Amino acid sequence: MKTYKLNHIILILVFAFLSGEILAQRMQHAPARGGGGGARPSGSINGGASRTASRPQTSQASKPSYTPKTQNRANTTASRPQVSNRKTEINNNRTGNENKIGGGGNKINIDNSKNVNVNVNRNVRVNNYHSNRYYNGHRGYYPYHYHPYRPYYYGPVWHPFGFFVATMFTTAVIVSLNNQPYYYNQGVYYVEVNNGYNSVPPPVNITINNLPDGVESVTLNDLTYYYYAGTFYEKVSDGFKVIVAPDGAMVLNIPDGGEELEIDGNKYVFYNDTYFQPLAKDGKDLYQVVSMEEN
Amino acid sequence: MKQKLPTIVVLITVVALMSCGENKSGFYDQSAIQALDKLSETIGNLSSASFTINTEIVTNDGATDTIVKQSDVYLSGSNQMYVYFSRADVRKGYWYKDAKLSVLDFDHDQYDEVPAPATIMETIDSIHNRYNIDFPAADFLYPTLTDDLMAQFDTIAVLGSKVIDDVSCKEINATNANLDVYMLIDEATNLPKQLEIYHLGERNGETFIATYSNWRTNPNLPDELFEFSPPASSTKTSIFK
Repeated sequence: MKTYKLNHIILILVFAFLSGEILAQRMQHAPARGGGGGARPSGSINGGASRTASRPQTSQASKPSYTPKTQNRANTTASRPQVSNRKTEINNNRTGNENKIGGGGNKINIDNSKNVNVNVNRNVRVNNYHSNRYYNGHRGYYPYHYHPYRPYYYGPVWHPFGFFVATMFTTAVIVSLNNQPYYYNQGVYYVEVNNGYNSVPPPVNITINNLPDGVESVTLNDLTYYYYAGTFYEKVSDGFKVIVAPDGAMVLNIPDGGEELEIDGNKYVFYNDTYFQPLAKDGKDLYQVVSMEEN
Repeated sequence: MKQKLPTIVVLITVVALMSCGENKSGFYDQSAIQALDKLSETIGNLSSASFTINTEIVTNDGATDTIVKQSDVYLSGSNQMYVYFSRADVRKGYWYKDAKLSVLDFDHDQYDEVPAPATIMETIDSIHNRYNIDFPAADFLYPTLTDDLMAQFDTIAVLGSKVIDDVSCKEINATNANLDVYMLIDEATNLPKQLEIYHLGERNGETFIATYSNWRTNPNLPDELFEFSPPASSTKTSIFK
């Protein structure tokens, strides 16, 4: 009888101990109760740091005399998953953007949970091959990091594609490509239409004499490009030539007219036939030009 | 003699329990404890955050297997969370808002929703205990991180500095009979940069490495980011089970 009572006490003690040490996650933690204790800053993601008053004694020794237990420790960071090819789901009914290169074409709805319909002209996915390439010393694209698309205001003389003006600016110059004349004014290209002029996407390979005010220089793999309002230029002997956005280039701003679309669960900004991937670097919200492959 | 045996067992049990409690002794380097406290305070002072975690796990269930995955984590206040998780053949999103946790399996176009507690931390705990799901970065999110580590590990010490991804980090080692853990903390921001767990003993050979990047502190995250509405084509199924 006495033995039974003692065993019962043992059981109670063990249970009491375990109930206070419910394991959670990879290292053991006390169960969360509303997110910490002590001082709780309002709106803290975890309720604010908490510590007990009675801690084991600490030592002031800056370095222990022992050596770490793991001898064959990995001297690396965690690898990144190699994402297999995934089909983009086709499903959408949104009308196209007539001002976009490609004119809207096929319409797709790329999977997401918020029914954000997007409109691009092909089924695409990020070109994973680029994880093996280097951009300014960084292997592959910078990691995706979402930040909302906020169109940058390039000033009163900049206009989005499709903008109509009845009279051409006196500061505009005429430049031609393949016998097609364009009116160029401060980074915006116009073609003549009935009773006026419409702004259009900058034609690739057209050359201008002077870059617009506010242009940024972008260095990529030791080459210098110039970027203004979604358009990239490279220096040529007789001026600056419009080029296809260089894969991997990083920029700070994208003008009005871009579309935020979701591909394989990540959101990109699609503008001027270019996919921009949001990222964060050195505390700044940036975009990197990414290459897409057709599915 | 026979009657004394239970008494001895009780004494041994009590001593063993006491040794694991507040009176636990070990080697706890003051600078390591201060660094962990600083990390906890830094995270505790965040009203929102986002970051990316790349994880590499080596399991040893008969044959060694390596699992590589990436998670993008977004946290806002104490009650909004979004995690986008991907590995080679799985992509899932977890949305937590208004005491509801939703999951979407992107590849199978299936979703599930379950009631959840009132805070991120309670939800992480609850989901872990009920469904054995480890949320990325959860270890560093616990507000009692330092106390938890001191309760579990016999030794916690600063090993020195180490550069990870061009980031100078303070390296802290924590050990007990079963685990050898390395925590690398960004010296400039006091935020976690890497967590390495090496199993000892019976699970020797199993490892867990998580590398943190893209830290954004107190970003303005839109509420819509945490709202889940099932895609029209998706079907509800029991993903949480």
